[in-house]
Amino acid sequence: MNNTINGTRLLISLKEFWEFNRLKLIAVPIAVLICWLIYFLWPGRILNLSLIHPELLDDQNLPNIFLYSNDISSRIIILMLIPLFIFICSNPYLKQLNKSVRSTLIPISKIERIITLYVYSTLIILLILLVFYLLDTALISYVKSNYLEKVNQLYVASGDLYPDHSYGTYFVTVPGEMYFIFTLVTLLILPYYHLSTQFFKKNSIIWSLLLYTGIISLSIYLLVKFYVNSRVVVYFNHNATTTTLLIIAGLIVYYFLLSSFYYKLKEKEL
Amino acid sequence: MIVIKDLSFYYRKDVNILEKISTTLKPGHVYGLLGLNGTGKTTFLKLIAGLQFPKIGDVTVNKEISKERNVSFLLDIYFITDEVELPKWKIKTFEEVYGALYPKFDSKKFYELLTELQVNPQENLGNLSYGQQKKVNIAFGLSTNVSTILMDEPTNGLDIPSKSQFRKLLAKYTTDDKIIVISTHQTRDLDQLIDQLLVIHNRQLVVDESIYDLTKKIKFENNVENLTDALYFEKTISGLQSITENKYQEDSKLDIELFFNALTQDETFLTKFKTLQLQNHE
Repeated sequence: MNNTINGTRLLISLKEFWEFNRLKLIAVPIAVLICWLIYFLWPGRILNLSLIHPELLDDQNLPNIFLYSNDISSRIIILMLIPLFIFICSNPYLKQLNKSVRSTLIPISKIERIITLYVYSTLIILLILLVFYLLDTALISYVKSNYLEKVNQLYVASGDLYPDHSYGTYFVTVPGEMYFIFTLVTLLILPYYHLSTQFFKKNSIIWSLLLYTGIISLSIYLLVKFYVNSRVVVYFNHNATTTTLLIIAGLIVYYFLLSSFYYKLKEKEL
Repeated sequence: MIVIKDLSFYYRKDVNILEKISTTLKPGHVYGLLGLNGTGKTTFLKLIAGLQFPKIGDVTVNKEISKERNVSFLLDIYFITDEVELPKWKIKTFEEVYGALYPKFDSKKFYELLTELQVNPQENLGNLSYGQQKKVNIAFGLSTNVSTILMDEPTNGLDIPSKSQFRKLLAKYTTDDKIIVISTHQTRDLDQLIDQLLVIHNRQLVVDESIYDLTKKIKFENNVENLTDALYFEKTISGLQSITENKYQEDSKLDIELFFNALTQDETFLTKFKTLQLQNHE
């Protein structure tokens, strides 16, 4: 019998997590949609103007809405639903791994448990990003098809013959890097959070953020003190080397965090 | 087979809960684990299940070290705890998800047991009472067909018909390849089932004997008048009950409660009992 990973058991573990969080996971796209609607139905934003106050979208107001004062790059705040949903789905699961005799004695290995947590966290990230991307694309397409021509005419009228619509206006979708950054940061915080639930029974989310911030701050401090500002510089010929070394160091830290979480689960006494 | 060697355990270094316990629990028996509150019965079960780790000594179940909690170990052990911790799912979902993990799980048997325990299999676990949830857990545990079942106060919260039903089910479940360890205070619920007695007292396993051997050594009598030979006696509403040496190998029914009271309330009884044990060995 394989004591670490077994396909059938892993599927059962995934099914168990699904049964625990079925409603929450179904609610993910709905929550993104609701947040999206709240954001764009906010007074002064496009859906509010277009659906509730179309009379305000006259030639006089269009420049204000589309050119000068309406930076909507803050809509990426909706992506904060990623850590929120990961927390509300994983927290009860982690709690029962921490406390429940029955859960501890279920024949599912700790590695399978960890894989389950990461599979669902990744799924939540992808689901939220996908819904966000679809909504973003749909809205920008809607705005473009209805207002781009008019706005371009306004640009031309103001002397700008080749208008360049930048991120933050209603004509550009959220760039791909943003999705990447959110995914990366979430995945980086995840092992700190998992580990914190094992060390700190209360307020584990706060502790994990503090731990993460602390480690990042310390790393930056050490980097600045001993690498950037040092006269005795460890010299790297090529920038790629530095990047590779940092990635390797990051992966080692990640591995240690995962191992610590694994052994904390494995060696937990109830 | 459960092998416990020189087991000592404490939560605080200066207060031992269990001290140098050694025993072997063999398949085909139902072990009754008795002890006063706080003597470490649940801890003892947790040590067998690998939920607590021995400070000194080893616990192995079917040659697997408990504290390692390997999947191969977990596949063959089920612990029915006093507290019910079942998820708030439909019973069917619960059976489908967790049943699939145990290679010898018998789904048909699970539903039969539920019917016998008068639990509606269509119900949601979240809507069931403590007692009903406990019945589901018992039915599930017995359906796993694992070789080791540990039970901590299994009859707590069960109604009177369910207690007798539970006894019947457990009797049916007991086979030559299974070990059942039941920790309980409600000895009258289970005295017909238990064939091996384990008593933890003052951190030690003071009794580790079969009921058969016990009744060969000591005799239990009701309404006695002559107490001169009594190793221990108690006044009850129905008269005097006593424990005496069974010099002539007479048959008597073991009164677990009386025996337990003797062990825990009369400090001299244990010494007398041990002397009897030695004499028997000789």
